[in-house]
Amino acid sequence: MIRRTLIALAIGLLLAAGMAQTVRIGLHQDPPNLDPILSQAFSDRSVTYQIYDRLVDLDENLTIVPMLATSWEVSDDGLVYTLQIREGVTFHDGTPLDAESVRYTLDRNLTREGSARRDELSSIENVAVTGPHTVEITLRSPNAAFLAVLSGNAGAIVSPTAAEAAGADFGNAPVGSGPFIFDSRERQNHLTLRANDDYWNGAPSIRQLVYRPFPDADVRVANLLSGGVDIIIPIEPKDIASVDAADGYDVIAYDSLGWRALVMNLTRPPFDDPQVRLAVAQAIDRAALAAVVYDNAVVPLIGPFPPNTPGYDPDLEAPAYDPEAARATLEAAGALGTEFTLLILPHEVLHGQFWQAILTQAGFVVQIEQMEAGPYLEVVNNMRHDATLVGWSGRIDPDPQFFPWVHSTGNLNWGGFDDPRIDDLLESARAETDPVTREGLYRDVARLVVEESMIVWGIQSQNIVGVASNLEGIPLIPDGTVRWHGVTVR
Amino acid sequence: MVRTRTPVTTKPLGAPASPWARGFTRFLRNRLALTGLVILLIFSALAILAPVITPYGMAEVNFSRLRAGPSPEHRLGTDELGRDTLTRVIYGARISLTVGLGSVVIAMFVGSLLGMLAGFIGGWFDEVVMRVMDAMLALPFLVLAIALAAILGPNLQNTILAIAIVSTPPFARLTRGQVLGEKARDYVQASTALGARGMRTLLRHILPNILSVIIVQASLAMAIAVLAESALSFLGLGVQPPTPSWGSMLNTSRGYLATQPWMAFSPGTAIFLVVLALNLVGDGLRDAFDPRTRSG
Amino acid sequence: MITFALRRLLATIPTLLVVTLLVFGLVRLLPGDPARLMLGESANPQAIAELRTQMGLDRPIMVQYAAWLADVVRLDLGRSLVDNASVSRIIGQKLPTTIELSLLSMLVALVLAVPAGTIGAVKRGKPIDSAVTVFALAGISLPNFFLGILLIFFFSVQLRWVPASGYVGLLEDPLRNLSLMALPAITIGVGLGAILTRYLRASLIETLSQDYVRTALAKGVPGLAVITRHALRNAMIPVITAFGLQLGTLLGGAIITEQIFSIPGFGRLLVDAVSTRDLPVIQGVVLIAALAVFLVSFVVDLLYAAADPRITYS
Repeated sequence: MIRRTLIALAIGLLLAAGMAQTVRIGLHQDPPNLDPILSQAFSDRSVTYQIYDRLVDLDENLTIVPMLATSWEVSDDGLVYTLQIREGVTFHDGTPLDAESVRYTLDRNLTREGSARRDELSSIENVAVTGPHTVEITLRSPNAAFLAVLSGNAGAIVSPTAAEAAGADFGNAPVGSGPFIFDSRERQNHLTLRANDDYWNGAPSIRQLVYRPFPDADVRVANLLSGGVDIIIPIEPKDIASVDAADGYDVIAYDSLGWRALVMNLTRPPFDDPQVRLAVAQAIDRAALAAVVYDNAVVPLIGPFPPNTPGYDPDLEAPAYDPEAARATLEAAGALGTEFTLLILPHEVLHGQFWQAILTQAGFVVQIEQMEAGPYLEVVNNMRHDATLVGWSGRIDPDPQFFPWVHSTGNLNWGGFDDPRIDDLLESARAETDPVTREGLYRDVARLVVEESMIVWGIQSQNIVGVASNLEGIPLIPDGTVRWHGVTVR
Repeated sequence: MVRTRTPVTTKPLGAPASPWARGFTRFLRNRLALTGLVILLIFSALAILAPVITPYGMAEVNFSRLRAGPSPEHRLGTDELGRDTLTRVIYGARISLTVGLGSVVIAMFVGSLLGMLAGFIGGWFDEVVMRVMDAMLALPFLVLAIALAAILGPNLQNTILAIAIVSTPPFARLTRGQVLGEKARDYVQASTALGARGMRTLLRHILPNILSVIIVQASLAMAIAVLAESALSFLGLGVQPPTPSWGSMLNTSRGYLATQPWMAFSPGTAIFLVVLALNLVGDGLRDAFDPRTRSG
Repeated sequence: MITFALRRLLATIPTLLVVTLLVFGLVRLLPGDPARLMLGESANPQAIAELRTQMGLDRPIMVQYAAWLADVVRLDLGRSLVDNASVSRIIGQKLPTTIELSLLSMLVALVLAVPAGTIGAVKRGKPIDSAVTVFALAGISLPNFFLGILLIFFFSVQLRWVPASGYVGLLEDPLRNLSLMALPAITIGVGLGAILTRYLRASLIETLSQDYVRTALAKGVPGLAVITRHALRNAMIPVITAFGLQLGTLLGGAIITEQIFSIPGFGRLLVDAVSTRDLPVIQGVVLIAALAVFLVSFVVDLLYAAADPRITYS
């Protein structure tokens, strides 16, 4: 009897030890695509950042730090970047990583059909391998944001052998050089990575990462609190209190780079009229927004650059909240009772209803239309919407943070911006090498956009994760993606 | 479906001779069915009088009273935007009953017409119509409804349309079977022999005889339609905010089950009561008017 | 018997063809250009045109249908627009979960329906029969999404007996799988059980009134034995038929229930595919659902014929 108990105990301990080495992560969606050139979703990066090393990385203070590039030099004219590539690194399939792999990857990013990285890297003119571990990247024009771009999926180096063999299917069989190796996946159920014991920076202490998608926020929390997963990314603000109160679980909230805003279609009525837009700007009660929709877990934001990012302007002013003035403005514009459709993603229903309620008070008639990401993108890319609520994960450099949204050629130009003043400012900022002057130019653009209420910002997003207390060493990097290499399980 | 021997009720003296009146009397004696009818009448009255009797506006928000529990000002509490739950449950009755009634009326009309024509005309028309109906019946109700709602786009009219389409085949099958049965009877054959025009024969003789069967099916179909509407809006495929629907209220409430469970109880109970009432009435009507399928 | 089976099978073929036509037409009506959806936002028009040609979207609709049908017959349901995975494979992955859920739900339904239906029939007209009738009607009227929420509230939030949701494969961890499947199975099983209770009660009432049962009772065979050994067995025949007819109800229940409890099954697949406009997956799911209904009603027919000597195979 005793012996049996002992055996059971031993098995139990073994199981517990096995469990401790596995970290199960609850995500808000099943990562759509693990191929760095096709990936567009925030949830992808939770996985791709473990599988692939990038040329450079960010730390908690948003400083660019070496990763696969051990050092870099920039020519005085800002056009040539010379990168030293780390030696002795191999991909998960055994292919050695060298300068040629970097050239192959950047070339793939730029030329492959459907690449979502092409815009980010459009300033590249040429990539040359000048030594076994030296790469020289020449730009068409100076781009101060270039290194920051390489800290994202655009700088994720893929195994050329594996990428060639898999072709379009690479996202289902990803091979990089990162601390974790793709193991298996069943869509909508689990995605499993295992530790890369030969990792150049030391084998990770966690043996296995299991990602599980829980699109439903309530289900996500329930799984965390019932021990089904060890961390959930993200956690909805309304659930903060219940996770915080639970034994053995913590809520970690830290500033992100992103925001939530109302993007209006400036190319057609009603929002081609600056007065109508002013009414919207006057109607938004950001304090109520933070309280009602985000349970005060976020802070109001009036412009594109949150306080923790370059470009932030403490003196920026937006039209003051004043519901009566909003109504009066709308009436003066002869637009009381203006009807429009507010396009939202399904998880933004409460957010959408908040805007609907306050804009109804201001005299608008607002219809809400919900769409999943695929059809949603088709509508906004073709400017078939009146207005939409946008959540932006943010970038550390003001150029990728703002250019895509407001430049006439920007790939997220869902407002239909086509304003020479804005384009000129953004273009000269891109070419500007003096950081102070450059930041000033971005402030000018932000002021212009806010003054004419072309986009109405609401709040700065927060990275909020719910996590089991036995996970230690999670780095709080504002881009919101956890790097699991250094995390340990107590 | 199942024939059982029901004790023959002795007719009261002076019982009306018409089968309709007899059915009606039987229905009124069925206490469960009457309860259902009363519940339905109450909900219908609430739905019709909603703007008059509700204490707040349908979409009236109050950011200082978010997700509040029941209180004298808000008898059923408030929701995540501080809107009055009682008000929204009452307005929700409008959506549920509109969709239930609307879709079943359409399905009843179209389905019965198709079934009657198929039964009467026969031949290739019958073959084609009934094949399509059979094929639709093979697709699970909710699967088809979801696919249709997704195709048509989410709003009130399309919800009605999607549910109407899915509810049509049973009516067609039922009426076709009835028509074939009645056609074989002497009086129809007699009247066709006399040269009465086809359509008129159909309407004058067959319609009254199969009306009771259609009505019974309609009341049961409406219970299913109300359930389907709330299921669609539960999945976000029904009416869009801020219009309240019991299904979408219930879906929202799931997020607050640990802290504000009452948010789930009001809309859930409302759906349950209305569907139960419709089933009670449907059962009662079947027992009263359609003795062949009486279940004892 | 075999002739009967073949004849019955042949008779379903025209309807089956109409089903495929409906399923094909249904999805073609969805808004959005499949080629564009597939390539994503940054695709250029030329690439879209090429893909349209490649996918055959530029051919006449009936040609497209014929090609699609030919693929379907070879069990090739196309590829998902979201991740290019084979639709047959995706469905194959999800189906076992939903089948497990369905079987467990049926178990719950039987556990509820057999005693309740029997009591109702035996004590016909007594207060307990009225109670059975009312509860059965209540069970039919209770929306499964409300029931699911109530179950989560009482058993997960209040009592903390079982996790609110989640899924672990049956083979991975059978115990945890069953504890996670308990609430979903009850959610579907209650409604199904209520329907079966009504069938069983009515069918048993009829059986009990038949001569052989009366004879047995008159001979002094104990009532319970008569019921379990003779009457119930016969009364189950129409109940099995009813089971077959309720497959649609079961699948509908699975859609909602898998959504509430976050179970990665067939129903979740449909809802996800609808929201991402993943046309081939929607098409595949609807088609497989219809085929399942056909298959089950066919099997039920055969069983029914085999079980009931009164049915002739002509």
